[in-house]
Amino acid sequence: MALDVTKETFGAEVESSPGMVLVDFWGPACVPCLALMPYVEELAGKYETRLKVVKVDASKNRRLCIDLKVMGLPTFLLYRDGREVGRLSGKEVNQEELGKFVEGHL
Amino acid sequence: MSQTEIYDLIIVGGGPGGLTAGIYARRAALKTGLVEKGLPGGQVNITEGVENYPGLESISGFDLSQKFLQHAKSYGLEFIQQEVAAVEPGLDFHTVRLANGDLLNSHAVILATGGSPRKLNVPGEMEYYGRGVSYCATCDGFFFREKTVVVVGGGDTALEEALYLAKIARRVFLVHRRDAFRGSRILQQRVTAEPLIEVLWNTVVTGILANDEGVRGVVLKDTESGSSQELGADGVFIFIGFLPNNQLVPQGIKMDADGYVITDEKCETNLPGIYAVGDLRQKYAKQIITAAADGCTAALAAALSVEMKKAEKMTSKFL
Repeated sequence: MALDVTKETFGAEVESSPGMVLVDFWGPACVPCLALMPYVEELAGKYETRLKVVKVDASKNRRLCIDLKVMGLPTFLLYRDGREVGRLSGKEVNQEELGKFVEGHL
Repeated sequence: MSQTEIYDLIIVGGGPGGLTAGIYARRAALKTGLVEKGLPGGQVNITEGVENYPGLESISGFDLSQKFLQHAKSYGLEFIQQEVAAVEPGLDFHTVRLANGDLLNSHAVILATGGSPRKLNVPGEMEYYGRGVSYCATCDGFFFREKTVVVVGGGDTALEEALYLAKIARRVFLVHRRDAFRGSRILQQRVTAEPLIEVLWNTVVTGILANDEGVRGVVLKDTESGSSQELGADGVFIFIGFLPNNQLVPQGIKMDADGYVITDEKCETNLPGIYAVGDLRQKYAKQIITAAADGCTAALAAALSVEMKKAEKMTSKFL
């Protein structure tokens, strides 16, 4: 299960987390985000110990998003040992793109 | 279902056109599958409010999509959540190849793949897509609370989205290349009455300015005087029409110069048994209701043609 992360828990769950973390920025009115959600959960199950998957509701954590320069949805950030190593946004992000993005960094 | 079985109808795309085709096809007792890679509803999903679908005075795009889907499912439409890799026309039947390698054979195919937002093709647009450049106000609007945004376009979508953003942003500049809007009169009146929206007529966006933080403004050009100036803004929303998603249209099917599929009044293409509906098809009005109407027409036509084809086969057996 992808863990829900907020501006309060982002530091602990992502920036201080060892290993790889995938952060899914989504919003309740972002239909492409909702469409991808089941696949994000699938990734969480697939990579289990190799990848931690968390999600941020951007509509409730706007400040955090702006600090991270996330200004459009869906956006996916990938962290390794607390450092951002990859960013997927700005195209029509689909399952295939997301799968390749994650696979390419593991 | 085993791969040797043949569907009566495969619908590619689950927007209003595809889902309506599904309803009519199931009511005609066709064995029907609908393949959709994303969320059913297509572009309608990202529309904040729909106010011109008869019988529903005001409904969110997402809710309307869900209603279409439930309606189609109530008739037993088989919903296949997959991406289509190719549509291959055949003599006896057509084949729809899925991205996972599965093959669906079908007597008739309805292409209902819709359209995608047209790009401005100016410097900065693709680089900052997702960092201030957006094609979906309902997705990204809330990032621009109390900020300044530029909306580009003059059709229904641009006017609707400018009005939506005016509820969130501090200031909305609506940039339109002509001296009059194409969008419906009622939306024009609302835009004019909205004090937060300023319309810049006869103006085009020639570039998007940005720094490390994201979008910082746009370069505007006056189409009459030819002079350019910069305008500060935190976001740019682009609604300048749609391009047809014609990547899956098989070779040999006639399209117009803009890439829309040419059909007859039954929505049938020049390849028998292959139909095109909705925003993919060359036609005058691109609306939810006209996409739905196309879906109805194509499904009824497909039902008749599949029936005739089966009857012919039966007769030839006894000859």
